[in-house]
Amino acid sequence: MAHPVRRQHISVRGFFILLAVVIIGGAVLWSQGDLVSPLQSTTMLLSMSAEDGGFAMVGEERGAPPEAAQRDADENDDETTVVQDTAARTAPTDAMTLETLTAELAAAGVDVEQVSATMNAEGRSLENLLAVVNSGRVTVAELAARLKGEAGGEVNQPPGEGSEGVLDIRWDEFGSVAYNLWFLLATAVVVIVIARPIGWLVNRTKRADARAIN
Amino acid sequence: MTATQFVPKQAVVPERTIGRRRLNRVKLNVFLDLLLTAVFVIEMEKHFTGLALHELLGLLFAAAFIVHIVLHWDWIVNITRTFFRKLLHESRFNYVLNILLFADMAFVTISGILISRTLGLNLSLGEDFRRTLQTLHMVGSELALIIVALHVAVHWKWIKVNGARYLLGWLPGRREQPHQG
Repeated sequence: MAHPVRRQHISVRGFFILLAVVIIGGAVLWSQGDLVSPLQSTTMLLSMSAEDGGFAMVGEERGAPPEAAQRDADENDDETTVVQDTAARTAPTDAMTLETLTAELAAAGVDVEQVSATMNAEGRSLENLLAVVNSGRVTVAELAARLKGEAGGEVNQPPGEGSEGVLDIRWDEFGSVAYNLWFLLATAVVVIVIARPIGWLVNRTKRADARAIN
Repeated sequence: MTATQFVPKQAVVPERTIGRRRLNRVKLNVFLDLLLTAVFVIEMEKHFTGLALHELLGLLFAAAFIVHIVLHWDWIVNITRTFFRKLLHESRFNYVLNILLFADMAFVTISGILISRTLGLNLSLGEDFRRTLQTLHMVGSELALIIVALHVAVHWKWIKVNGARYLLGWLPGRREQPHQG
């Protein structure tokens, strides 16, 4: 059995190593724009909407550096938010609805049902197209033309959607994975720090109760 | 050379005999938990993996999660039996946290299977229901990150001791350290 003093020394050393990892890791993530402050993530979670547009995910904005993220948020609407994921996420208030898109595609001569069936078979849906249209990267007319095969090239898909390959890993998103790991370690540090005074208070209360009973 | 070098690891850590093989449960837990953590932090980011791998990893995670629960079944039974006996039960917070984690993980897994697009289930869910489920799936997974973080924090001592023993045990400086029960 290790000596108690040595054990405590090892324990304190371990904590400081963990703390250093959290601080350095946090700094690296911050410099790359992958660190979302708890206030920011809470605000994003609270911005959930009951509308069809869905909500803004905490992880959505992690891709850009802090100042760039703020700038993007100001410029907003058509570029950054919607493109990131399906239409179930954030959509601008003046965004096109699925019904409107379907109607306009049908009016342009696109067999919407067939397109929908094909996309479903590929693990996608019309919502993906809606997200691309709402992102402003393609107009309904261009989309209709491509769907009818009048123009070459693929419709620019939102990241992570419609990927047929199992090993279709986007390494530029690795920062988000690192953030999750960092969050686990940072929480451990916070809990270790908070547990000390709480433990002390609980023990003190217990002792006081025991004395009162005696 | 110290005397503790001659003590085999299996003699000082909990073990269980399954058939003819001896299973070091602590070691198994360490590696299983490592796998669970790695899969969990990757699984949280669908953008990173793509949808197909996200759904496959989800199934792998669910399987590993069930094994994790099975390995801790004795603890679950013991704490459940004694939960209401003591007012200031040390494990009570941990137990409540684990119940929350289990409920959240079960929901996220089941909702993930229901809204899956690449597993070949092709469940004919209504679009509104699917969208609601997708929203709840994402909220549940964000909540899971917070609960898992607390779970890791609560078990940090165990992780530190056993992680160091089994993951860093090959380091020359650690080889001669005595095993602490």
